[in-house]
Amino acid sequence: MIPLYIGISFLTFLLVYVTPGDAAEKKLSSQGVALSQETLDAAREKMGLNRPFIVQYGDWFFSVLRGDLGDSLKDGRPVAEKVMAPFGRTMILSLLTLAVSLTLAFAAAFLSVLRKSGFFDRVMRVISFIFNSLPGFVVSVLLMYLFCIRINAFPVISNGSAKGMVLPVLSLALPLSARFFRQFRSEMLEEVSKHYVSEMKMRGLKDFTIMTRSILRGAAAPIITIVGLSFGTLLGGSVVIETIFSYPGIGKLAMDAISDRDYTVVQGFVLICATVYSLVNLGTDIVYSVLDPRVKTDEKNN
Amino acid sequence: MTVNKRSKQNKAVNKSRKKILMTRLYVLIVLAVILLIIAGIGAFVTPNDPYKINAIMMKKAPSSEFIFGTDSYGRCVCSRVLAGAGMTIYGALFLVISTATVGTVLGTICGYYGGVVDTVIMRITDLMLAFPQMVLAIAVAGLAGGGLWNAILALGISGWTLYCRLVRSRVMSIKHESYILAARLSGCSDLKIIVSYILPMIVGSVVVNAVTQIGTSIIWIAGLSFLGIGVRAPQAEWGSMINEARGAMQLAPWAVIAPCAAIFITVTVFNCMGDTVRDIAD
Repeated sequence: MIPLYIGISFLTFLLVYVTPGDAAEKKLSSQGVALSQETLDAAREKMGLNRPFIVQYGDWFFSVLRGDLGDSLKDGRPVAEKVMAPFGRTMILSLLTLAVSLTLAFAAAFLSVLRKSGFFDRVMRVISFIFNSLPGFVVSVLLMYLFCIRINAFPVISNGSAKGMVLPVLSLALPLSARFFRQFRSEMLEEVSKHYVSEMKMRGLKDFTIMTRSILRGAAAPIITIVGLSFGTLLGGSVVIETIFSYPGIGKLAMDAISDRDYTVVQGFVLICATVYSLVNLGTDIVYSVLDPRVKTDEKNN
Repeated sequence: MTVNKRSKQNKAVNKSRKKILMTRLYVLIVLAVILLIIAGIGAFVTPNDPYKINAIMMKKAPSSEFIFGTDSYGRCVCSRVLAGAGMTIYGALFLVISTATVGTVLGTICGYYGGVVDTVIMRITDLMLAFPQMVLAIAVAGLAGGGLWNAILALGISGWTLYCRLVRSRVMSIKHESYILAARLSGCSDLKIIVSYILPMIVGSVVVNAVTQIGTSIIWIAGLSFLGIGVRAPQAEWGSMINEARGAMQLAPWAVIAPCAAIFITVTVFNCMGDTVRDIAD
C-alpha cells in the first residue's frame, strides 16, 4: 500500500511536471503582473521551479503528507481548502448514486434470477442493455430535455438542493445500475448452477429460501468487488455530470481548473480521486477476505 | 443410460445455441461493417457542407433539404453526424487495437521471461489500476490541451493494462505445457516459440476482450470530446456536437437528438457484437 501510494503521488506529480506550459508564467499572468524575464525568473526562483525534478517532487510529496496540496495558480488559495467542500459534495452525489443503483440493480437481478428467462428477466435484460449502451452524458442530456424542457419538473442547474440532485443522480445511476444488473445477474446465476443448489431443491426447499439463504451469501463477495471497482467509473462519470448540471463538485472544479490551466488544482483532483479509489478498493479487499476466507488461504499457499 | 441420453441432448442444445449465436454474430459483423463504411466515407458524401455557417437557416426543423434540421449556426446536423462518425469510430478502433497490441506484447514478455522485467511491468499496471481510468484520462487530455490524439493517448495510458494482465496469466499457464518443452528441446528459439506456439493460443481471448472494449472506447472518446478536451470544436464529432447543441436544446432538440442516436446505435451494435463474441467463446 505505501509503495503504491508513493507511485500514485509520483505519477500525479509527473503528470503536471511534463505538461507543456509554465506554472510561473501562469501565476504571474493571473495576478496581473507584467511578464518580463526578470519577474519570471524571480517567480520561478520563489516557486522553486529551478530546483532539480527529484527535489521538487520530494518537497511536494512531504507537503502532501502534511495535507498541503500547494496553492492554486489562479487565486492563490490553498488547493486543499479549495477542494474540500466540492469533494464533500461529490461524495454525497457518488454515495447517493451508489445507493440508488445498488437498490435498483439488486432488486432487478434478484427477481430476474428467481425466474430465469421469464418475462421480467427478458424485459430487464433489454432495458439494461439499452442503458449499457448509453453514455452518462447522453442520458443526462435526454433527461434534461424530458424533465426540464418538456415537463418543467426539475431545475437545469443543480446547486445542491434536494430537487436539483434528482437528475444528476439519475444520470449517473441509470447506466451504472444497468452494468450492475448484468454483473449481479451473472454472479447469481453462476451460484445457482452449483451442485448444492440442486441438492437443496431436491430437499424441497423453496426457491425464495434458497436465494435469500445461500445464493446471496455466495454471490456477496464478488458483488462487493464489482461495487468497489465501479467507484472509479463513478468518479470519472461525475466529472461529466457535474459539468452538465453545474453541480459544484470536485469534477466541475477540475474541469474549470483545466480550462484555466490551473495545474495545482488538477493535480490535487487526480491525487484525491486516486486516493479515494485505492482506499475503497483496499476496503473491498478486506471485506472480500472476511466474506470469503478462501482468498486468504489461497494467498498463503502461494 | 439416462445420463448418456441427457448429455447427447445437451450437446444438441449447445450445438443449436452455437448456431444461433454464430448467425447473430454474422448479422452484427455486417452491421458493424456498414457502420465502418459510413464512418469511412461519411465525410465525403454529406448532403450539405458540414462546416458551412448559414445565418438564415439557424435552428431550422428537419426538412427535405436538412434531414435532421440545422444547429444554432445553421449547419446541417445530418452532414455533421456523417462527418463526425469517422473521428469517433476509427478513433475508438485505433485505441482498442493499439492498447491490445501493446498489452499483448508486454504481457507476453512478462509471462514468458518473468524476473525483473515482469516485476517492474506488473508494478506499473498496479499503479495504473490505482487511478480511476476516466479521471486520469480527463487530467491527461485536459493538461495536454485536447485533440483526438491526446484523447487517445490519455485513454491508452491505462488501457493496455487490461490486456497485459490477461495475456501474462495465459502465457504463464501455457509455457509449462509439454509441447512448449518439446519445442524448446528441439532447439526452437524463444521468439519462434512465442510466435508459433504461444501467441496462437492466446490471440482468441485477446480478440474477445478487444471486441467488448470497442463500445466502451467510443463512449470514452465521445465523452472527452463532450467535455471539450477531445476532438476540438469546429471539427464535427458526436460528443462535441451534443455539447455545442445542448444550450439551444429548447429550440433545436434535433441537433442534440441526432448525435445522441448515432452514439446509441453505434455503441449498441458494437456492444451486441462484444456480448455475442464472448458468449461464443464461453
